Amino acid sequence: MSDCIQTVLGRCLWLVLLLLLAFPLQAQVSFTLSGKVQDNRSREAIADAAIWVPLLQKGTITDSEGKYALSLPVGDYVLEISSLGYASMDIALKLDRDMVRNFFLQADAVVLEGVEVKGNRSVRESRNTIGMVSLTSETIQKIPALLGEPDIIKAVQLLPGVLMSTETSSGFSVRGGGLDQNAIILDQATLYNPTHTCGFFSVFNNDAVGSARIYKGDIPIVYGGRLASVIDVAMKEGDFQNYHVDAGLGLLVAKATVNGPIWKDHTSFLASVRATYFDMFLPLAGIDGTRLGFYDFNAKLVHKFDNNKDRISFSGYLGRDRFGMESMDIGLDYGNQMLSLTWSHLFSDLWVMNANVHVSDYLSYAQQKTDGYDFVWRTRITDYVGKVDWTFLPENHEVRFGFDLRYHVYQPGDLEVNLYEAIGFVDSNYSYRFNQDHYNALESGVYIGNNQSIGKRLLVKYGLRLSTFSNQGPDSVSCFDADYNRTDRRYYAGRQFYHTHWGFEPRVGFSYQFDHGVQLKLNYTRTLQYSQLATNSTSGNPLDIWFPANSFVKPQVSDMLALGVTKSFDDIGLELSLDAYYKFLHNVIDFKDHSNVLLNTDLYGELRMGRGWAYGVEVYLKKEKGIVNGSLSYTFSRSMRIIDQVNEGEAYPSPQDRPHAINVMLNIEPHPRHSVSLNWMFYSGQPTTYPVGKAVIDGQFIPIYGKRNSDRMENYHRLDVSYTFGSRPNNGKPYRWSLSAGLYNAYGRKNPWSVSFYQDPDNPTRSYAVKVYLFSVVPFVTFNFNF
Amino acid sequence: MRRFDAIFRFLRDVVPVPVGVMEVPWVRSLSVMAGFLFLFSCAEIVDIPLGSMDPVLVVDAKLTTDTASHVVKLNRSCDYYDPDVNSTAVSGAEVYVLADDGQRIDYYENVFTPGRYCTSADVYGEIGKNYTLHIEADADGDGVKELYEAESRMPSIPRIDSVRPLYGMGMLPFYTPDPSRLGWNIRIYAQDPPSKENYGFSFALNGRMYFDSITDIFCFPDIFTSGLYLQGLTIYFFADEPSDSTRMPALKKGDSVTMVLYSFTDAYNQYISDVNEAVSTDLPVFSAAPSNVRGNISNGAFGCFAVYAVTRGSCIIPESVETGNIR
Repeated sequence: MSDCIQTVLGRCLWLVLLLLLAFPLQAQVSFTLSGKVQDNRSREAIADAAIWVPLLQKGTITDSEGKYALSLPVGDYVLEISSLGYASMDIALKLDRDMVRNFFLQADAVVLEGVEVKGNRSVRESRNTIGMVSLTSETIQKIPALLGEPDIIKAVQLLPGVLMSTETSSGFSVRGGGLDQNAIILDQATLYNPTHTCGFFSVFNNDAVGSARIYKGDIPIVYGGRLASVIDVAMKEGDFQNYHVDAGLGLLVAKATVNGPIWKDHTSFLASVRATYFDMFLPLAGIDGTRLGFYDFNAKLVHKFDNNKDRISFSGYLGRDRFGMESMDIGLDYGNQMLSLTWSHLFSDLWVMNANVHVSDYLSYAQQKTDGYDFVWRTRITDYVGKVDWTFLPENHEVRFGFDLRYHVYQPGDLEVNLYEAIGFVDSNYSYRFNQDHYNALESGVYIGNNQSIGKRLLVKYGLRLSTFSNQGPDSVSCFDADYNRTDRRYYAGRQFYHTHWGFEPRVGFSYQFDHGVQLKLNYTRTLQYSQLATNSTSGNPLDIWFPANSFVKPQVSDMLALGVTKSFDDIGLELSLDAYYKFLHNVIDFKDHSNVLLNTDLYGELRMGRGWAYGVEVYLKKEKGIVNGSLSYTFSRSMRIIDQVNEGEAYPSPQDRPHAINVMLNIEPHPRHSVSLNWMFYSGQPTTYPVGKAVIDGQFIPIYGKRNSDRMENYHRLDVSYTFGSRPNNGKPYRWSLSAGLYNAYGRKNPWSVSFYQDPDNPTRSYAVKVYLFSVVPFVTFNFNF
Repeated sequence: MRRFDAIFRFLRDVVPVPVGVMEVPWVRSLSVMAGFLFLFSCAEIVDIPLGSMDPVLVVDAKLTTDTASHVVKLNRSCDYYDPDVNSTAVSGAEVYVLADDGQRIDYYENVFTPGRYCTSADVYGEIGKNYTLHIEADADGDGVKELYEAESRMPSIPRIDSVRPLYGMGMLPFYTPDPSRLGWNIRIYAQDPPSKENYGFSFALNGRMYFDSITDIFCFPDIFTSGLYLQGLTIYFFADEPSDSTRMPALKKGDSVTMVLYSFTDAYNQYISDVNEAVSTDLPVFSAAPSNVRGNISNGAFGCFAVYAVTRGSCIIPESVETGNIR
C-alpha cells in the first residue's frame, strides 16, 4: 500500500472517529419501539419489512429474523408497515414508554388494488444503499425459469449490472467483476460453488429460501472477503403454529419441504429435500449406465426463549452433484456442506447482538476404481468461522460493530494412483501419490460503522473495516523474479504464521431526499479479497480450485465510486433509478497463456498480475404492484485489464466485458388464479479471441490468434414465457396448488455457446466456423402443491 | 515435481490418439458433463468474418537419429479462410544446421516442391549433440532475407527389448477393457530410465506408417513409469472389428507391426501439445482462452526445430490366437 493511500486512509479514520464522537450523548426523552414482523398465516419472520413513521419521515427495516427497533420521541404516531409481497398496514399507537409490538402482515396475492407502497419505498431508499436489492421467494417464483425450476441466482442475473456468464450458467459477474468475486452466503456461511449440474441449477432450493439481499457494490461493512457483490440468503424458518408441506414436481427435479412447530410458539423446524431424476431419461437418449444429477438438503431449527430476548437458530445444508459411468466405475462428485449456529440476544431495545459459528466445506473429487488400477483426485476448501455483530440504535443512528474470524484450509489438489501387477503394465504394484501444497490461513475482520440521519433529508453512512489475512505453515512458497521464473522455494515448518496481509476497507455514503420523490446517493466502497478461484475456463467448472493470497500474491482490491439518482412517481407506482459507477481494481489476477492449474505444484507461477478498471451506467424502471408489474433495465458497462505478459502487456477486455445489457421482466396478473410472465434479455456478445491467420503444418491448419478478447461472439438475446394457473389464494381450503407451463427461449434464438474453427475434412484446403448453441425452444411444466 | 503437471496434458493428449482411449477416466467424466449439455445442443456452420495479419515464416524442421534425408519445410502464414495454401511456400532460402562439434548439415531446396529443403540421405543426428538451425529466408516479401535461428539438443532414448503381440481384451493404460471387444495388444518391453522423458509413439503396419503426423502422434510422458521396467505395456490395441472413431486397422496373421518410439525435447513436446490444443474443439466450460502455439524459432517465426531420437521394435502377428491376460 503506498504512503499516499495510507495518508488518505488515516484521514478517513480520523473523520470516522470524529463523527462517532459527535454522538448526542444525552438525547431528548425518547422511547424504543421494537418487535417483529411476521407472516399472519405461517408466523414466519419477514425480513426487510419496512416500518415507517410518516410524521417524522423516519423508519427502519426488519433484519433477517424479522426484528426491528426504532427509537422515537414521546408522541402519537401512525406507523406504516409494509413488505414486498404483503399488504401494507397502518397502525396507530401512543408511545410513552419502551414498547414491544409484533405485526402480522397478510400475503397480498389477494389484495391487488389500493395497496399503498409509499412507506416501503421511502424506508428502503433511506437505507442509502446503492444497488441493494431484496428478494423474496415469491418474487423469484414469478420469473420464468429454465425447466420450471425457480432460482434465486437466475433472478439475480436479471438485475441491472449483473451479467450471466454463459448460457444456463449460475455463474455471474457483477459490475465487471469476476465470477469468484461474489460472496454467496447461506445463513452466514459462504458457499464456494453455488451451482449444481455445471450451472443448470443453483444450490438454493427456492422452497427453503426465506429472503435474500443482494448488494451490487455498496457492500455493508459487515461483509468482507469479496470484491464485487454479496448475496445473503436466509433460509426459511419453520412455522411456529402449524405444519405445512410443500411439494413440487418439475420435468427434472422433485422436491418436498416440511415445516412446523416442535414446541408450539417456541421451537420450529424446516426440512427440505430436492433431487433430480433425469438419469431415468438418459437411456431414452441412448445413454446407458450413466449417473448424472444432484440432491440437496436444507434444514433449520429455531428456538425462541420465553424472555423474548434470546433466540437460537441452527441450520444445515448438504448438496451433492454426482456424475458417473457405471460401466467404467468412474465418478465425479462435488458439493457444498455447511452447519451454522446463530444466537441472537436483545440486551435492551437499543442493543442487539448476533453471534454465529459455522463450518462451510466444499469438496470435489473424481475417482475410478478397477481391478488393474485406481485413482482418486480431490480438491477441498473448508472454513471454520466465528463472528459476533452488535447493533446499537440510539436516536438518529444505527451503529454496527463486530468482528469475524475465519480459518481457511485449502487443499488445491491431491492425486493418488495405484497400479496393480495384474494389468501387465509395470513389473510390480506401484503406488503414486501427489499432493499440491495445502494452505492454511486465518482471515479476520473488525468493523464499525454508522448510519446517521442528519435532519429529515440527509442520511450519512460511514464505516471502516480492517481485514487481515495470515498464512500459516507448514507451507512452501515459491519465489519468482520479475519475469515469473522461479528463483527459490522457501519452506515454513511448524504452525507459524509466516506472512500477513492487511488493509483498511473504508465505506462511505451520503443520500439526500429532495422534494417530489427525488433522491440522490453517493457512495465510496473499498473491498479486499484474499481468496480466489483458479480457473482458466470462461464459465467455471467443478475442477476449479481456490487458492489464497500469500507472500507472492497480493490481495485483490476494488475501489468503487457510485452515484445514484432515484425518482418515484407515486401516483402511478413507478420508480426510476439511474446509477453510475467507476471501479479501480488493483492486484488483478489472470492466468498466463497455456496455464495449467490442475495438480501444478507451481500454481502461483501460472499467475500474472496487473490492474483493471470497470465503469458503467444502469437505468432501471420498475413497477412492483398492479395487474401489470415488472421491471425494465438497461446497462452500459465496460471492464478492462492490463496484466503483465498477457496480451503483450496491453489493455484488453476482461471476459466479463459486455457493454450493452437489457432486461425486461413483465408480469401480468389479471386474475388471482392466472398469471403470465415474460422475460426478455439482451447482452452484447461475449469477448473472445478468434484466429487472424493460420500456419499449415503436416497439412493441418493451426490457428494464429490476435489480441486477447479482441473479438465478440454474436449478441445474446432470448425470451422466456410462462403461464401459471392455480387454486384461488385463501380459498378456505387447507391446500393450495399451482401449475406452471412455459417456454424457454420462446422464439428459438440460436445463441452461441461456443464458436470453433475447423478444417473441412472433405476439402482440407478449406476451413469454416462452427457455432454450437445449447437450446432452441424448450417447453417446461411444473406442478406445485402445498398444505 | 514439475513433471506431474503433465498428467492432465497426458490424458488430454491421449484423447485424439488412435488407440481407442476415449475411455480415459478424466476426460470421460468431463465429456459426460459436457455431453449432458450436448444432449440439447446443436451446431451449425456460420459465417464469421476474421481479421488478418502480416505473414510470418512457418518452419517445420526436423533432424532425427535415423539415417535418412531430413526435411525442413518453409511457408508463410496466411489468412485463416485463405484456401490457396500452396502458394505460401518460401523459396530460395538458405538452410543449414550446425552441430556443436563443428559438423555442418546442409538442406537443399527440392526443385519440384518449392519450400521443401532436404539433406542428403546419409545424414543422422547423434544423441547428446547440440544442433543449431540457421535459416535465411525472405518471408515478408520485401526482397531482403531475414535470419531465423533455433537450437536444440538431441535427447537420449531407451532401447526397446522387444515388442510382442497378445490376443485378448484391450489393456491400454487407463483403459477399462470392454469384454465385447477382442483384438491384439501390441506390447512393449523396455527399461524406462529414471530421468524425465517425453515419449511419443506411432507404428508401421507392413511398412506403411500410421499416426505419425503431429496431431496423431501418441504422446506418452513417463510420469507413471519413470525408472520402471515396462513389462509388456500395451501401446496400441487393434480390435478385431475396428471402429471408425479409432481409425485403427485390423490385423491378420502374418502382419508385421513395427512400433516406433520417439524421444522428444521439452520444447518439441510442448509444441506438439500446443498444436493439439489449438486444433481441438473449444468448450466454454472446460477450455482456456485460446493462446498461440509456442515454438523455438527466433525472430517471430511460427514453428519448431524438432530434434528427436527414434527407435523401433517389430513383431509378426502369429498364426494361432494366444489367450490374453483376461481380467
